[in-house]
Amino acid sequence: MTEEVMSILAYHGLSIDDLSQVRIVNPEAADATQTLKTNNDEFVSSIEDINKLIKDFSEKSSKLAEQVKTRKLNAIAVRTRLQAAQRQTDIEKNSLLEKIEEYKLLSERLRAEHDALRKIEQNQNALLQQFNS
Amino acid sequence: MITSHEYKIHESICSALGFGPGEVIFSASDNHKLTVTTINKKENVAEFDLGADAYPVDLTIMPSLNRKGCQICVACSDGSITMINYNKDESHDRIDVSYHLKLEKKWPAHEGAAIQVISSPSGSELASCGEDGVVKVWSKSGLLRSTLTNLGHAVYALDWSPDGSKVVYACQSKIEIKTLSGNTKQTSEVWTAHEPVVSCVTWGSGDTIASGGEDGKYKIWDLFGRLLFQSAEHQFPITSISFSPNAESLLVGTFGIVKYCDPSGKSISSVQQTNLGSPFRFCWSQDNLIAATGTGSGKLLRLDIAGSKTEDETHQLLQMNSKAIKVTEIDSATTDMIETTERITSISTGYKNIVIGTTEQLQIFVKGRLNTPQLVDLKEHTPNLIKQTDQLFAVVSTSAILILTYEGRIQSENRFNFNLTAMNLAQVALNSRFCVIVDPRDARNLIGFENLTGKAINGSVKSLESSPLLTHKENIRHVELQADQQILSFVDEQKDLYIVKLGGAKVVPHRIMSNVTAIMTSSTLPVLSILKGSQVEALVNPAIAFVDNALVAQSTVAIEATNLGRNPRLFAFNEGTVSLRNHDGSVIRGSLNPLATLLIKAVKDRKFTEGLSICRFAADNALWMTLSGFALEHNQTEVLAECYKALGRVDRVRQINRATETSDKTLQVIELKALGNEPETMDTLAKRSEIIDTLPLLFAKCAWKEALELAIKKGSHIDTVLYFRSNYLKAREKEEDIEKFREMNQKIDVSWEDIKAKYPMTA
Repeated sequence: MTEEVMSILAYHGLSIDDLSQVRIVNPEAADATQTLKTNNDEFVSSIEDINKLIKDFSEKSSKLAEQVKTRKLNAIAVRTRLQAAQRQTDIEKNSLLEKIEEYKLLSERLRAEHDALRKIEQNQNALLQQFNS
Repeated sequence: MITSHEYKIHESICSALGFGPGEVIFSASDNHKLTVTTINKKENVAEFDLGADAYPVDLTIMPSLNRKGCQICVACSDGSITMINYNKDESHDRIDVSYHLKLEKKWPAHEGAAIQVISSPSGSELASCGEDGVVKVWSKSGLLRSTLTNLGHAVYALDWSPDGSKVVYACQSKIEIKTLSGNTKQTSEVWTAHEPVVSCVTWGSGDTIASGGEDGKYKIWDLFGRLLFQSAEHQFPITSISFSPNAESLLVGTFGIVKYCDPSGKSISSVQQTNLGSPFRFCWSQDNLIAATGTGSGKLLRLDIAGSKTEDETHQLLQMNSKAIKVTEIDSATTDMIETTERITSISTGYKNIVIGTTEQLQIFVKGRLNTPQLVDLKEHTPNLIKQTDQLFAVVSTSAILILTYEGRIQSENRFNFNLTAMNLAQVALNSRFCVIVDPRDARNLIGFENLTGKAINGSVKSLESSPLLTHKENIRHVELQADQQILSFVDEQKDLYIVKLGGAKVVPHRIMSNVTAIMTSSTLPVLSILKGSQVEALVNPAIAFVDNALVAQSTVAIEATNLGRNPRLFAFNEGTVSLRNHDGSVIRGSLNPLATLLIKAVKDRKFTEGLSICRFAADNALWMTLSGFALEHNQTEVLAECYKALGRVDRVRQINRATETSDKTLQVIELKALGNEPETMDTLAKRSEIIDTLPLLFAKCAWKEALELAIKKGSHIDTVLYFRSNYLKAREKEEDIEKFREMNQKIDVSWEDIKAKYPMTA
């Protein structure tokens, strides 16, 4: 009978599942649909998660970009300052070297003057000695 | 040392500026205006509109005798030169002052911009150069005199030689010198100085030129283009360079820096300012103590030159800035400051006084009492030079020479119709009676006048400028007067030293030495220090030249001065100490042998025996020679004989002995004088005495012509003369070159026997 019923039901496009309930849809397809449904639900929630993550990420990265930008500007500023300081020290060095040169000349001049005066002193001392002896 | 003072008066580049009379600076910038600024108060007191299309590039002041006015020439970028009259009117009490600027003339000078215009040192001519590569010389009224050159490329710099006879200019990488003189062929010297472009050039003392270029270096050259000095390379091009009028300082400008250098190019001090811009032009005041510069940022900067030293035996003066002097007493090392309200223009110390000239007055200090100076208001005179003697001093202003006592009383005042500002101390000589200067218009002439009356020494009634004391064949560089003596000595361009006795209407210079670069008399002793290259000598008692020329060379004493380099300069001779300024600016002192000083003092007091003992003690031939000179001058026969003995001159001793044995008094005097070199005494001797006494003297002097003439005149001893002459020639293996002797040799037979009979061979 069962077989007969089954075939009649099957003829009319119906079937009986494992729980002996009459089904219009083929139990396999129904199963597959069910799985698809749950999968879909999962997918949607995952997508939502990803969306959230991406949003988070983009927020964070733009924040980082901002930070990088300020850092970069700072670095540039420091670099130019350094260059300028180098130039300045070069100029200062040159002027100091020049000053040294000037003072060297001055001391050279004073030394020459001193030598000449020493010579005079020597001569005068020699003469004094000549007088005394 | 230099210090800078800022005058901010222009908004854009200022390259045209100059000092005017009465302490003002003229400057012009791209605002089309010529501005007059007072140096002291930094106020802009007047402006002149040059026209809307005039962009001034350079200006020059024509030197004038007038203390209140002058003419200014402005060169503009449209190629025109504008001549402007400047005048300052002030009321008697100097409270109401007004300034007037009036257009005199404007004429087109160059195609393209006129880059530089510069007045000749005398103010009689102008030279200009421009982008068209042409250098032109104009008369002072703006008429074209000559076109010196046409180079096809812009000429960026130009300068006159100090005597106004040559012009130097720079085109591309080359420097060129051209002689102006109309009748001689124009000679020029050309050399490559800087790559790629020479941007500035200046003429120093007679024989140096300095230049700066875009290679960032500045160089110093002699007149043949030989390099004397080259600076290190600067970061930026050298934009301006300028020698002071006395050529003792050099200013160099490059971006942000002004350097003050000594004339050999070595930097002494510098001013650095980041917002300065490039200094484009320098100008100097006539007293060499301040300069000004205009820069690319429109600034006008006054530069005060300090650090000049003046000294005498007891005090040293150091100029600290334009209004203060530090006085150091050498013995005690105590210092004092002298401060003035106006700018100092000249400083001098010597004897018992210190004299300081400012733009308005003279301050006379007595040493030791520096807080109570004697003030003298000089009215229209600005003291440029001060020369002191014991009782008097001379002040040289723009156009007059004043002689004053230390009480501040004016003894005489001589005004001249020419400019005296270019003179230096070597060209002024003063002693207690006379003042002699080198004529600035023609350096071959000496002008001399008496201190008390201001009248010409030669007694001429004509004006001083038209009746020179003497006219020499060469330009005179140095002139000196001996203290208390009427003896003038001078050195000419050929480095020959001449000596002249003043008094009398006619003065004849004697040449006594050659190769002399400078001379200076001692402040107290009759000694002339002589600089020969880098050797210093002292001619003790120059009057000796009038007694015996041969003694001059022998009685000079060397002064030991160590470390003297190239071209030292004499700057003081106090008692027995000579001070020289070396090329590097150091002051080298050398001392005259103290025994020589003692000898001079002894002779001055007529203590000849003391002199003898000094000479014996020193055992120096030069001192013996000096003493013999003094003895000859004062007719001290015994001393003279002693000197000749010490010097081993037996012939002279014999001659003196013979003279003293003669009974004829006048003959005795003449014979003694014949020891010297005066030709007229020889004549008198020949007239008065026997020919036989005179001939040996003439032979000893190799005065053959005179001997022969004398023999012919007297009609005897012709053969003797001929005989001695032939002996003389034989000994030197020479042919007879005197016509008269050849003639006589043919006429007269010389017999040795005859001569032996009549000529005493013992002499």
